[in-house]
Amino acid sequence: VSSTNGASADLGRGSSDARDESLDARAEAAEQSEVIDRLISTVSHELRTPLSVIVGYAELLGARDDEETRREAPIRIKEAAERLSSVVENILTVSSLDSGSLFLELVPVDLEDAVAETIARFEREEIGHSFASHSMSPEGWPVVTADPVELGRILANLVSNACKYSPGGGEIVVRADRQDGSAVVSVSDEGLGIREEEQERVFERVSRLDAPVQRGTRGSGLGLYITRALVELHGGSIWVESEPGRGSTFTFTVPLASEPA
Amino acid sequence: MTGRRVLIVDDDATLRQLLRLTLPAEDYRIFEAEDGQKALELVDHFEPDLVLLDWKMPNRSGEEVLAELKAFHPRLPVIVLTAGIQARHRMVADSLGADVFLTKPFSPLELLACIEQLLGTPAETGSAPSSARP
Repeated sequence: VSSTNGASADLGRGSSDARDESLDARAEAAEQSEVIDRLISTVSHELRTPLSVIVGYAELLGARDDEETRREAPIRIKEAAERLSSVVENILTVSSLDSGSLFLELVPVDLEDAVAETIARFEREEIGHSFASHSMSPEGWPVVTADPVELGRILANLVSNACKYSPGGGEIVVRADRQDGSAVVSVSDEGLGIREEEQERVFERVSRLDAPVQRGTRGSGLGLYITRALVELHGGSIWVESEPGRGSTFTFTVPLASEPA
Repeated sequence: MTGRRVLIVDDDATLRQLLRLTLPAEDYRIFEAEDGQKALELVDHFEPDLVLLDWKMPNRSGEEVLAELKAFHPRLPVIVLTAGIQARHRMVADSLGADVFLTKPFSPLELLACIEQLLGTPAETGSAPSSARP
């Protein structure tokens, strides 16, 4: 959460320039406070919903003896706890990104291994989607300079997003290529797609798209904001191409590991 | 067995399931809607005795649904469940005539007591529906 101090720094100066500046600053502060309101409202919703499931099922489990409650409660409590923990982790990540206290440990990472590891995880969890990965470069899969944990998080966020926004299933494909000293990695789905006017907004903090695309999906709305920040910390960039009804492709770049001389 | 008819409106499937399990199957017939639009369609088909209504939903918010329910079915009791924290929501829900306003996380047993208070306990009403609408 960025600070809004400075909003009133120009108050009291006589010149009209200063008045304009102070009006701008106030408008900016108002906008900032609206963003914060929206963030708090989304985060509150995303924390309290799984919390309700945990508290509710725990209480029912203590009070009831029917077979369905006994069977469902432990499963739902575990799922909700995992959902809660991922929201909390996202909030902590945003906070460390904002305060500049997230530091990367850059090492050479084999992109093929990183992608395979991510896909293996989602193949276990996601029924209804199929996964594939291809290297588009004649030289094969590249080795990149990255923090392995954060690169894994970038890939997982994009694959998770692809699954979330293709509720009808379909194939999710990860491709890698090389261009100008960078690896170019894309994640494509065959899902709902994103309208052109909304494509810019998807990387904003708390930007989950309006209904009906949002329908049935869940999340803190922080995932793509975090993904972009992590990509940029690595010195890369990220963008999206999409057509409503045909799916989306998110592409990011990450520097290639320098070849040994 | 007929039982009292309750419409559960929430966009989160896990929460709908929790609400369904909260209401004993021998006493209640449950209908579910995953958004506001569907809720308004189902109300006319199933004529519920009570509605459990989430506040933040796609395709017509809880606020819109509550306003329409109270306009066309003024005697139908509505319990609002919200994960938000804004006091403004409660004021809006109260002004639109919400019978009960609960904040998530809620206690299922307290919710059940609340429903029984609004509809009468199963023992009082037997299996006769519509006890809340004389």
